[in-house]
Amino acid sequence: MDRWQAMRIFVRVAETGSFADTARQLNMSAPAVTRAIAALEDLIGARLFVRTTRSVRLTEAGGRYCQDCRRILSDIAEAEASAGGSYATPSGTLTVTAASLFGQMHVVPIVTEYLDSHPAMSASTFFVDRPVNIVEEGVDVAIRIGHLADSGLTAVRVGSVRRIVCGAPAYFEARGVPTVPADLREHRIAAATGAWGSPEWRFGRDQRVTIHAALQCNTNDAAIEAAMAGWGLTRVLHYQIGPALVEGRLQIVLGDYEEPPLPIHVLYPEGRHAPAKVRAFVDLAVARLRANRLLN
Amino acid sequence: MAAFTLDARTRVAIELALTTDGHEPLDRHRQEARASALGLSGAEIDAARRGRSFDVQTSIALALATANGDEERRRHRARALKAGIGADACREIETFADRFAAA
Repeated sequence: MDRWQAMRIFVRVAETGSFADTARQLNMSAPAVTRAIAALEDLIGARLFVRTTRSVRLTEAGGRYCQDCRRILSDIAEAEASAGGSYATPSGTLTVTAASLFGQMHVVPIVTEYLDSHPAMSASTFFVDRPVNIVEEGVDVAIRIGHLADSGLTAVRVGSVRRIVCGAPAYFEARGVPTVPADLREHRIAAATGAWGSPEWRFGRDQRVTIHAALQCNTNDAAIEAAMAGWGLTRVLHYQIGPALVEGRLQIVLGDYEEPPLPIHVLYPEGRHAPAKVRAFVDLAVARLRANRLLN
Repeated sequence: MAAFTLDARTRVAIELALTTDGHEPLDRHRQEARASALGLSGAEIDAARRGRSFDVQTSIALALATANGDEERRRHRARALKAGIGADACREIETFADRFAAA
């Protein structure tokens, strides 16, 4: 069996955690899968999986090798796509990453529009609230909020987001409007303790306020719901409450004290040598996000 | 408490709120470009044209600026004072709105 085919089987076993499932998916016999993995382990000189009667999981060496295999297999697929002409016509699978809520609200509509325009394409979204290594994790395009570190990636700025303090009109009617950051100490706070959570809220002009959050939420959605119900104030990125701002269900306070807005970029590797599937998506995403009046 | 001031952003928001459909498209375009240069997003410009703002105090200032008649003005002035917009700022908003509407 050739090396790349063995790698393909190995990656699938790692994904399914089962020799039998891999065999079914690849239309092979279970013993053939077992033999392929054993041959690969002999070749490498290391155990790739820990096998028990009920499960198969990667060893530490297997985990590292799995990442390398994914990259190599992706390169092979790309080389084949290039030779087959997919640099002219989008084809294959496009993987897009973004922050969870931003992805759900602003990226999914772009991805579905893209798929409608390119029926030969399929897409995979990877929306998580942590930095994703585009190259290592096999991502084609990332939509990233925040200042970018230097990288070899191509970045196109498409808008910006504000980190805002907000509450419901009913809350402000009942409890008044904070006019300086220090006023927040007198208000009820629902804080999201996720990616942006901190007991200290920073504002522009180097102002910091240690807040006492009577309600701590592990998701932004929960904190937003509490604010929308008129319970208290919360701090979020403004796109996360876009519809509520437009409809007047939530309003912003302390706008004069905000930190400078965070940029939004579309990032992708390979620049102008990117395959057609990436270039077509980047063109669409840049146009749609720049036309988004909430972000620009 | 920081005093609310009728800054350039609030002024342009009031102008957007008071600009009726009858205005020249070119004027409206220039007004929008000026608002954009002052940092208002497209969605904020749309809201201002409807007489609203994403910001609590600016929203109340717009309500005061676009109020019809003395009674409505009195009501919105009371709301503005409660929301930390001082009496001087309220007068400034009303004067600015009157002058813009008369121009």
